[in-house]
Amino acid sequence: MSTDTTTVERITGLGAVFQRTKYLLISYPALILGIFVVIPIGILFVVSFFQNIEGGFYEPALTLENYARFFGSDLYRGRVLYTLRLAAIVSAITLVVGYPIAYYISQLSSRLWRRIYISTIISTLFLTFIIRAFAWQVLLESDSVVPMIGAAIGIMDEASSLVPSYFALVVSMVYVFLPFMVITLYVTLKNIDRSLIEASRDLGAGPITTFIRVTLPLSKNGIISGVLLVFTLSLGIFVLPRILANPPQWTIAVLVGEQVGVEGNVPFGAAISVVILTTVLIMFAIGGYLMDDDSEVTNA
Amino acid sequence: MSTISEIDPSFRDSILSGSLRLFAWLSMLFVIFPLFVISMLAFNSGSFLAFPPEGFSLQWFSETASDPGWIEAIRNSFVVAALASVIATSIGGSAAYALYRYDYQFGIAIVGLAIIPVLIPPVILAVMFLTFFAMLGSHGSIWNVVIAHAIFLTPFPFFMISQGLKDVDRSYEEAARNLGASQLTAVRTITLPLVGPNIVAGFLFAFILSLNEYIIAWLLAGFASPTVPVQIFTSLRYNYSPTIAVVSLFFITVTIVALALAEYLTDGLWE
Repeated sequence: MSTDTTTVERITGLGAVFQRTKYLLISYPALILGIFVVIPIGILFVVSFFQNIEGGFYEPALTLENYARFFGSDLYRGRVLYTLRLAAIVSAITLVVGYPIAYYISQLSSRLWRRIYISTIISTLFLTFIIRAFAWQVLLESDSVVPMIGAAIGIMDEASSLVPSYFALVVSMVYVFLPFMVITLYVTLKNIDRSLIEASRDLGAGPITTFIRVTLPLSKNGIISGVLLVFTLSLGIFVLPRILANPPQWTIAVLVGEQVGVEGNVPFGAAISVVILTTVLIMFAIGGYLMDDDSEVTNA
Repeated sequence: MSTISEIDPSFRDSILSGSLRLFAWLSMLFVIFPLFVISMLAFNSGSFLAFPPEGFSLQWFSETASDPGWIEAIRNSFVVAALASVIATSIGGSAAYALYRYDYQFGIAIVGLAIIPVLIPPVILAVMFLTFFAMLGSHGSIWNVVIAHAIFLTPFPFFMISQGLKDVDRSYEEAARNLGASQLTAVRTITLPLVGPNIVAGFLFAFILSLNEYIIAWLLAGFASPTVPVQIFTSLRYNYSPTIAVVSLFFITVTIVALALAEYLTDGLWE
């Protein structure tokens, strides 16, 4: 297509203008993103080798001390494993809860109802974690809805407070990540060719067999992207553990925030950030490798 | 399987779809209920944040409106969100349009740069920008939050506008050019109206995400110029007043209205 354009422009004598506009136009986003994305990533990496000075300052150095402190300590190693396990548990729960929802909505024949359901599910998607954490804090407190129900049906001995706790953390994380999972699965499930499912039913397979043999394999890419999305988002979560869980249940991202924002040890926070960032990139690489080639993720 | 297949197939189908529907409805309840609870607390007559509320009152609304702390936080939030989303839309939009209109050898690198901010966990973006601005000698400024948010949110308008442009044939603009329209006129009269809804939707996404962002705002501006999420966090720890519920209700409303508008403009965002 570009060859056609250039030929036309050259004939009309506008070739030079065309070329100038072309590079002028891209220079704005390219320069801004170059300065404010590439350089800060570079600085983060560099600062992770800097030396911390008491009182929130740091000086240029080339020390591996920050990384050594991180990898050499049982505390931080344990925290990494804890965060990875939490991310895996939350991803698994959101997948199990989210799949039937996405499946149900994608099967609806009314376009209006599909839009209503999806809009409801994603209505909370962008709402700050702070407000959603606050909501769960209110719901899980003693004398509040959840503990009272728990006591009434006999799960709990008495209506005692469920917050802060690991339970509160998992419930709130499932709550905030469910919309991401549902929307990712929905987009995949909706694009499955309905005639394949009908063919399976016509050939005598029941709904369960059809689901396991046809729908589930065809939604593989959606499952991988959904799990990957929730898993990586879980690694970066700060607000929910900070508000709804006890310090021993804080994730690795909370440690970054605390090191930088409270302890004032920026180089150490930067080193942990580099470790998390590397983990996230590895996760994306694995996900990309697992996904089938006809994935629509890279259509931009 | 053997017991299931002995049951009448149509009965089995209706049991399956019925339980699926029940599950979907319960999930909707799970999504909405916490927001409903917060909204109820805003009308609480008691001075303590607890559910169920003690009685009906509007006193916390006037309390909030006369609290300089909340007023300042709301103003900070809206100034940051407005500026950051305009900048994000200009960066994302110009990148999307340039990549649509021309072919570049380095095009894939621009796509990568425009998408990468959303792949980085916000807490790490915050540390990145903190060290970046520290090198420039700038600390605790609300303007740093504007820039950091603009970069963080660029992927959203970039993606939305790219999606819109995918459906616009490049030959429309070329036809206008061949008929004598300048490049600018061709864009203004042909392409812009066609992708207008996507530009607005991308802008709205960036706007509400900036309003609701906490960790970058906290680490870059801190308590000196708090945005609403930072102020809520502080209040949750120190005074736990029902005004938190009022501000939350306001934020829930703004967020849902903006999202509904984006959904309406794009005629079904996820369809």
